[in-house]
Amino acid sequence: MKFNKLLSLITLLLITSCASNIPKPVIEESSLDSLRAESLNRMSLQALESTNKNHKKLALCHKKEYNKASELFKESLDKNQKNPHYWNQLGVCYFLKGEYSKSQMYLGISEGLAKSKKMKAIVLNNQGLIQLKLANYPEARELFSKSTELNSRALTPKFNLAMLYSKFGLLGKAHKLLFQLRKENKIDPDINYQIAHIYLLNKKFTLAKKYFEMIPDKYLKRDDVLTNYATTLYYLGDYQKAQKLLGEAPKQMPTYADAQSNLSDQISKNLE
Amino acid sequence: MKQLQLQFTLFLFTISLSSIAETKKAEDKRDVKNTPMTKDLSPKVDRWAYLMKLIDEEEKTINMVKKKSEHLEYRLFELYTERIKLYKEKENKAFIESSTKGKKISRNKAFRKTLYHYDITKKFGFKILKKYPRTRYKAEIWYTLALNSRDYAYDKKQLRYLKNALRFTPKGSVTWYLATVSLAEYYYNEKKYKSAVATYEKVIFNKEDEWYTKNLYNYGWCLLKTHKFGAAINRLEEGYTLSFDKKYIDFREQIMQSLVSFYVIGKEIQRGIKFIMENDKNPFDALYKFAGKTSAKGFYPETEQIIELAEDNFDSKKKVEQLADLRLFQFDFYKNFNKEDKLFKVSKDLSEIALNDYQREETIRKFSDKVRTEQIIIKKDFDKHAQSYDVKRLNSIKSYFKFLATVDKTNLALYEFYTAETLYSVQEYKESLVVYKSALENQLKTPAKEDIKRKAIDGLFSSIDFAELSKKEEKVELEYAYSKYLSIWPKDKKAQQIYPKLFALYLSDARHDDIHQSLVSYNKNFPDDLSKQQDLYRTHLDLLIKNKNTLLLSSKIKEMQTGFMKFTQGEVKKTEVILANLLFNNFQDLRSKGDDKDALAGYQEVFFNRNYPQSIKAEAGFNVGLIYTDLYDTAKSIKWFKKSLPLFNRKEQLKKRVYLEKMSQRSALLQDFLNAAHIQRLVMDNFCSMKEENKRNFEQAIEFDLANDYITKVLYTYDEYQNCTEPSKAVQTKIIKHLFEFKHESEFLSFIDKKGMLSAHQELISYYLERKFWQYFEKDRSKEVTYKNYLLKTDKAKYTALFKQIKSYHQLKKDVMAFSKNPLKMDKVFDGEKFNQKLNTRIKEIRPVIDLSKGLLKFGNANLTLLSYNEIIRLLDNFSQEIKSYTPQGLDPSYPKDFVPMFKKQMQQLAANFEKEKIEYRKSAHDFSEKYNILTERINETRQGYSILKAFDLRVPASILANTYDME
Repeated sequence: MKFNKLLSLITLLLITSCASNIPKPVIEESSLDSLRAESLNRMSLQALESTNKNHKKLALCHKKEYNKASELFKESLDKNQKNPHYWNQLGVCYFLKGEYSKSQMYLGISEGLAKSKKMKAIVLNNQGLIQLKLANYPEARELFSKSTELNSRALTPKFNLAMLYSKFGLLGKAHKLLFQLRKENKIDPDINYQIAHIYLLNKKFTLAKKYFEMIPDKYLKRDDVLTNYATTLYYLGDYQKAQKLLGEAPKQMPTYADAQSNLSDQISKNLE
Repeated sequence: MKQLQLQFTLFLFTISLSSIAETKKAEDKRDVKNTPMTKDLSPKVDRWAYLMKLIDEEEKTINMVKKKSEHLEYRLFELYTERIKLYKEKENKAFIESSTKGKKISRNKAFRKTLYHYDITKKFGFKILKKYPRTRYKAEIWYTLALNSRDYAYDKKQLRYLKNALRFTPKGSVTWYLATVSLAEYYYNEKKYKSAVATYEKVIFNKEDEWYTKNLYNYGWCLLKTHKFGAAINRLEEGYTLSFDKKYIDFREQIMQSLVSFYVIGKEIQRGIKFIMENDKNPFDALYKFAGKTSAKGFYPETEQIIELAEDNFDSKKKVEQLADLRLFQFDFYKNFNKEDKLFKVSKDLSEIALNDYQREETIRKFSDKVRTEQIIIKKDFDKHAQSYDVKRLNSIKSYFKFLATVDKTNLALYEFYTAETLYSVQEYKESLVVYKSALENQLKTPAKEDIKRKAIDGLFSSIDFAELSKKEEKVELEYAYSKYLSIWPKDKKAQQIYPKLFALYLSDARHDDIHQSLVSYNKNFPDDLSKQQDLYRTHLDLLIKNKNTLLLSSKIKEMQTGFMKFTQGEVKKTEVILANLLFNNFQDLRSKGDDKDALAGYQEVFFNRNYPQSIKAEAGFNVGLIYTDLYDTAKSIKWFKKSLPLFNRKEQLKKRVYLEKMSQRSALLQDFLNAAHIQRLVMDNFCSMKEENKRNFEQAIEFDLANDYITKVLYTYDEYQNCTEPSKAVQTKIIKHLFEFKHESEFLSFIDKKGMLSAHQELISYYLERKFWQYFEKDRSKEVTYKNYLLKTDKAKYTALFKQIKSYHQLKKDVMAFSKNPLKMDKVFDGEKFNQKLNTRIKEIRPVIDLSKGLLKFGNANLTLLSYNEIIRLLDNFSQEIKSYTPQGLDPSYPKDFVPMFKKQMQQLAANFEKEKIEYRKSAHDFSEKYNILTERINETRQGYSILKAFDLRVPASILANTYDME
């Protein structure tokens, strides 16, 4: 029992450390990023450098320059005590830093100060992210759902909810949300990838392939996208393309290592 | 014979009486009280009584003789005369005593017995004269009567009696001589000088009389009175010279006393000088008197000459005294002759030489008269001549007062005062000021006969007013005057006005100790003026505030706190606030410039300084805490708050509480939750009794520690501070939620184990426990059991039912496994009939297993439903695969060649049915999940896309793709 506990702890630590090292998905072209107006999350470092001054602190957090950001937050505290955006940003920073309890505290303040539904939706989304990170999925779902209810035009909570549904195999719900999102931007790589992934799981390989092909090359080369695309190609019998793709995998996401390896072995067998 | 015996006895008696009388005479300065007269007499015998007794006894003895002779009669007459003398002596003494006591009594009354006995004696004398007209004692009797009349009765019968005495006595006899001398003296006394001269000329030849010198003296006077100056001087010189002879009565003193006058009157001064110098061995006295006489008559140079001689002829034993007498004389002499310089010199001398009491008194009197005169002159001159005066005269006055002060040391102060008055009168105010001060000081040291303190101080004040001093000088003098006045008359009416003036004076120079002392004194002596004194105190405070003298201001506050001047608490507090501001403004400036280190040092210095009042120290310490808070040094900030808070009074503490709570908030907003929580606990530590107010603090302490995920502290706070407030349900909920969400399982279980927790939060706790149960279900048996037990605690009925269903699920699993583990085995030799039977049996066997799941599916628990679905789907999948795998073995050759493919085809169709059922179950599971939004991490048949995920172990990490919502 104790050994199991220890093993779980080590595993958790490994996952955490791995997770912190996994590069977050970045979309350089703002036109491709359907969430660009709401989130700095998928901005590249260069793009973060040139954010406007209102989001300077947040940009620093996204760049992992937490201390600098903290100082700026402290400096601007007095004129922002009643500003829910300030607290939301601080909460996001702590979220990005991994200090979820503090993040929760500040997002709570933001929620208390938020007057508009739009603002509340923002905060709820970010609170949902904390629950998601803590693997408190019902709470995360609840928060993302409430966020979308408060602001049906907000794309980020919809996106996050779709990811959550997708994770738990609620593909119908995920599919619905993703198509709503796609209406806003047909060329968002992540949206197209998720749609393709759903089609793959539903064994609609041709459709899956169609959506994979909408994704620009540099975003196809992400481990998660690449692995799913290779799997689709495998089921479509395009072993060589699949194998080639697997050969170009950046191998930055350890959670896909097994799948890539297994797929590659299977393709090799089939090719033989 | 008898008579002879009697006479002999009387003779002896008379001798004894005479000898005793003579003994008495020789001691004529003896005290007549009970003192021994001779060695032979008893010490207690009264001389007067004794003598009277002797007279009485002799008289008695004589009266024993019946027929007395004229001698005896005469003796009686003598005794009677003696008796008068004794009575006169006695009554005279009494008369003098009563006169000195102020009693007035008539002479007749005073000398009643004397006059009585005089009368008796006179009558007796007349009786003898009548009885014995030819008595040999006739002249003696008349002579005695004359002396008695002269000495005792004053009945002016002396002349007649003397003339009769002379008439009845032969010329040249003793009685004649004595009577003539007495007559001469009579004439002298009656100022019948010519008669006196004529009478003296009859007797002056008698050089045998021991009283010759006296006679010469008297004769000389008579000659003088008759303007026979030369003869008079001759007689006196003769008398003086003869006085050296022991044969004669020494009349030198009296003679010289008169001679000096005679020389002057006779204008024979040089003769006098010569005589004195030649004859007087100690000529000083004579010269002194001589000088007095010559001076009185205006003989200046002669007097100078005599003085010079006197200076050279002091009696060695009396030099000191004589010198002083001479100087005193010279004083009057020079004064009378207006010789100011010499007068001054002599005065100076007088002030320096030794004086006896009389001389001192004389000197004082003379100096006083002199200086008084000078004062009058100088004042008159000053008034008359446009306020100008003779400086020399002023200096002289000053000097004389100094002389007086030297001679009369005890009255130094008085003389200084007079000097000051003189200076004041001529408007020499600066100088008078100095002298008034000196007079005052000396009066205090050695009081003069007149108390000049008040006058001196009045003079002092007045001099200051007029002296045209510089501001600085005026201050010095006023300070002296005020403080001196107050030291002498602290409760005087004028003092009441002076205290504030003195205070103001000290205040202008910021002399704090003096300011304080003056106020203490004012208060002590005029406690009813408290209101005024408080105003003065306030002005002092204002000065300290203006000069930013924080240390002294602090001591003043301490003073006020002890009740000095009876200030209200409000005023004390106000002053404390001012002090705090003064102290702290500097430090605040440092802080604003970023110099926290120096600001800290400053505050700490104030905190540790005993001189500051407690409230200030408290503020200082509190400020240190604030600085450390801003520097994010939580431990130190809390330490300082802990130190400083108890030093505040309760009211202040409550104010600080509010401040601390705000600070805690601010700390939290500035991302320092540790400090924020500490502060809340600190508040509760200090205000534990305020249970209602502490609710928020309790909640925030916990919230802030939750923000740090500092669970140990959260639980500590929860347990330790429950006595300070009632924990609310909301805070319990927060703790429970946090413990669950942040995966603090053991703490979660401990917390919900607390008394009443399960019942208060049943729904939430059961929800969380159930999630945990399903998380560990079939993965971690011990945790599964733990949570199972907890669930049963929360709601036994509900969860008993659940676990009953779980038991059914386990049975289902068992049955599924059993079914799957017991596939249909193909015979070695295929028998169709048999096979069909087996197959039917097998198909029949699956139904109950499937049916078992129906109850589970109906139960309505999401996890249980999906698990059940998973089992059924597996069951059906396994069975369809089993069916597909049937292949007949050992076929009889009678079977057609295509039997196996046909058999397989049939089996496929059969398997397809179960496949279809499986798909339906799967779809139901998917629909169930979608419908009820079930998020389960179990990846199994119930998950959509399971086959694809399973094929290559594909993962779906949603969190990495989730996005923050940053921008509005």
